Amino acid sequence: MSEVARKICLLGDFGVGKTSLVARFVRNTFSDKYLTTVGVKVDSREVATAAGPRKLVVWDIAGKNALDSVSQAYIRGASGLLLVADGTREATLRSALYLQVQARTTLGEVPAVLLVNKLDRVDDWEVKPATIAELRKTLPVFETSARTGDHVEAAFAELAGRLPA
Amino acid sequence: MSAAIPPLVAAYLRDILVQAASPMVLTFGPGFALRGAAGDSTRIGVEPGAAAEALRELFTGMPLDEATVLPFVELPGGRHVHVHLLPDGALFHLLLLDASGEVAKARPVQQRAHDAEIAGHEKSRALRRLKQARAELEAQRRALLEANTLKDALIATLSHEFRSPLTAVFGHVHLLEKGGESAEGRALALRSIRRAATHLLALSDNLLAWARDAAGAGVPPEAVPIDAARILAEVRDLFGGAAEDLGITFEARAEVTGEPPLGDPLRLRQMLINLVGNALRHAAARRIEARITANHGAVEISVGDDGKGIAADAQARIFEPFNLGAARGVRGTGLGLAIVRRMAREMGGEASVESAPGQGATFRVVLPRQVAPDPAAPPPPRPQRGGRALLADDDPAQRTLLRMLLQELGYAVYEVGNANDAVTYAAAHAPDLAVIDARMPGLSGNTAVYRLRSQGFSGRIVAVAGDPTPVAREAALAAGADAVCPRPVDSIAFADAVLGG
Ligand SMILES: Nc1nc2c(ncn2[C@@H]2O[C@H](COP(=O)(O)OP(=O)(O)OP(=O)(O)O)[C@@H](O)[C@H]2O)c(=O)[nH]1
Ligand SMILES: [Mg+2]
Repeated sequence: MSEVARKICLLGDFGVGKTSLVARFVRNTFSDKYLTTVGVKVDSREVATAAGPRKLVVWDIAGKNALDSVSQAYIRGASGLLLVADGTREATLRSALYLQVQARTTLGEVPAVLLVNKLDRVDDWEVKPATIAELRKTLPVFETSARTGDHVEAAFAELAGRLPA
Repeated sequence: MSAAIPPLVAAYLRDILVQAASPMVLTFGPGFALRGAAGDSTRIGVEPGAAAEALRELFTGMPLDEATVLPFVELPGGRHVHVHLLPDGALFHLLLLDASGEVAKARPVQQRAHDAEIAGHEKSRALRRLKQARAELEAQRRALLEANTLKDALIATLSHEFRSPLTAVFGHVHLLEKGGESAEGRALALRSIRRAATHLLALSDNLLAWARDAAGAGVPPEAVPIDAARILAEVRDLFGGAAEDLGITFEARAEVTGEPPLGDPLRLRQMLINLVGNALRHAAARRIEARITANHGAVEISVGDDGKGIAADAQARIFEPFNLGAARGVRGTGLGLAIVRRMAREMGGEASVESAPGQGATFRVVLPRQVAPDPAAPPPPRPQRGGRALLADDDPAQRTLLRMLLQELGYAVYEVGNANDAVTYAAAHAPDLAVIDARMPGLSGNTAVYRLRSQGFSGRIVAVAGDPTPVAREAALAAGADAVCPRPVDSIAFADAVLGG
């Protein structure tokens, strides 16, 4: 038996960069071209945590601003959530937080980390720094860039560290 | 229609459907061990071993003893399948049905919808920026236009206001040079020269006051004990002769109740000179009365005349500099009244006029009690200098310059060469000030500023920007900077940005 595997899901509105974050995390690649995800794609990568190595099974779920019954079926068995928003579109931040609430129906309370993505375009950001400072009081928040890789590793590691042993 | 489909037809139909669906079935035992594979693996493009591996991963954390459907799962080869889990005693089957046809139809629709929404969002952002840039340009244009109009008015006023007293001086000097004047005539000429010179002096004082203030170099008003009688005596000395020559009765009176008031004697004097000079030259009065009334510290200056008065619609405009648009020779074409009002406001008071055509005019300046600085009290709160400053700039030369400027302002400086280190240092040491170069390779300065703020950094942030266009400024401020200092750095502008001046 190899390392312990844990399922985590990326939830967020369309186009926020979920697929790009997974590509950066798993393959260290990035593409500017937007190819929308249909259904779900599952990838995996091993990470080291304080409790030993973990295999993260990462579910990249098609972007939605609400969880339908199919998405509820997708997230079953997940031990943690990566909530993803796009800093250049404030509305996607609300979607991410709403998705977290909806996921409770299926998962109950599981560890979650919020990624506000596209930090390389900070000059176009609608999300205010004060908003993020406020959100940090309730959950870990990372400003990330899938394009530059900035804080992507840190965000995944944070969630991995919070997963139940 | 309630009769069952005959078994033969049902079996036939099932064969057709199964063939059309070309399913792949993998059967697993306990521990997700592959027990068997059936169906068409070519259609799905993954051979059973690899598929089993992918499916084990897929079902991580999920119950295997419940019927489950996972539609549209993208397999490692890029093909989509619907995955059905069917428990079967100690075993379970995973049925994979090809979904690539459905995906081929659904994806373009979804892609178009998403692309359109994102493009719409980008477009509205661009439009908003464009509008903002246009509004800024328009405001700049208007300010330039206004400055230009003011400049024209200033030149016109100056040439007019300086010319007439100078002409008078030359005229009288010429008379005196010719000689042959009686002693009385000479005295009259000298008085006229003195009058013109007084006016010129007041005019140049006004100009200086105005220019100093426009340059932001104005001196704050003093609060020292005022000798009202003496100020009025000075004003009488200046204008008494002129009033007499013009046949005007000029009276000056001081009424002080309680302690002598505090105030700025130079400003009070200049306000009185402006008001009396105005009345003498423009009111066509027979009598002018200047008064300083002090009541337990509160001061009122008033200059009243019994002249031609000022129409109601003109009253609002006479306090404007150059009273743009007013006819020449009308009261308040210059700076005098504008300066009176500005000085009054500097001291927390107000200037006003009460008049009606033919009824004379009374100008009033009302000043609240001024408070003397307490010599024992700590010095007035200067902008806070000093403390610990974080300086982030990738260019060592620029960094050295900024460090020296910061040290001059009393800061202990910690230097970093990139934005990431800046964020880390600020999180650990919470400096009082962060000076961040907006353009650094890697993580940009604005990103660092944003991160500092989103981490809850509450010190002052100054962004140093090479191209402080309105858009660049806006971006730095939106990221959380308090001030943007243009590059190349000018020490005064930098100090202003750092101290928040
Ligand atoms: N500048 C920048 N662009 C990014 C970043 N991350 C993603 N993008 C771009 O954003 C677009 C959408 O990225 P995806 O990763 O496909 O987004 P998604 O969340 O998977 O979208 P759906 O699958 O439709 O839900 C693509 O054009 C990416 O290149 C980033 O960090 N910076
Ligand atoms: Mg995607």
